Amino acid sequence: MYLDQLTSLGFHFPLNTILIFVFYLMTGIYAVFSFVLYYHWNEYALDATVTKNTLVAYFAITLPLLLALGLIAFLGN
Amino acid sequence: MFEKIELEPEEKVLTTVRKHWFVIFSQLIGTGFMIFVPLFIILFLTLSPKLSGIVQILQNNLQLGSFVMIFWLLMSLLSGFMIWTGYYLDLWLITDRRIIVINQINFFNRTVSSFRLERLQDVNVIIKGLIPTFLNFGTLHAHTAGNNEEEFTTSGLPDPRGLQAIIQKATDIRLNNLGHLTYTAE
Repeated sequence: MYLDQLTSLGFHFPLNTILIFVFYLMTGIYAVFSFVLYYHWNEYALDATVTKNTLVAYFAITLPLLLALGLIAFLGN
Repeated sequence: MFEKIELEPEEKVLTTVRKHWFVIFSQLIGTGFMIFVPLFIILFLTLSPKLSGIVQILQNNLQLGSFVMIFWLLMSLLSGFMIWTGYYLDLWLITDRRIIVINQINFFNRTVSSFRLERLQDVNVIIKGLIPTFLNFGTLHAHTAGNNEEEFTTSGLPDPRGLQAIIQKATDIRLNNLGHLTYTAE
């Protein structure tokens, strides 16, 4: 019963559609956030090494998670 | 290193100060705790018999469970990077001629103030609380004189008394130099 409610949410949306929608939403948020983060570090940081390390760590940690979200949303069935 | 801050010719940077490590540590601890919140919720649901149906849903629907976990982890990490950015870009830059105070409150709230050492009226230090006392960090107020009196305040600065001493010494040297220049000009 719980599963039926969750998968349809009473609006007859399959769970997969909801997850894909959330993934697109998250991708949008991530893109904007990454741009703002990159802009701030590129524009205001005083040390190029720290900037480079931060941005490399940011993309190395977060991008795989975003890809994993996409994989789960699209290939989860 | 300081090419993004336009220093005057022959102006020397004496020190740059960011907030104490404990400030960012306490903020990142919160983020670290947020990362583990889903695990705590699952543990709570598992131990609560009335809510075991929700655990059943997650067990039956691995796609939903893993999606929510990764989504939460990603949001927590973005929050962590935002905290780190705010910490790193927020600083006091003390040169032999002026003090530049950069307050990076959040992504879209940044103030950069600069005042010359000869305008400095007083510098106050407040170290309040158990942890700031033992870890030696506190709040620094710099008050400028003149028609446009301004006050610059930053909390969580490490070794505020040392910083106060550096500023006062630099101010004294600056005033002496200016006095000397005035004297020779006359």
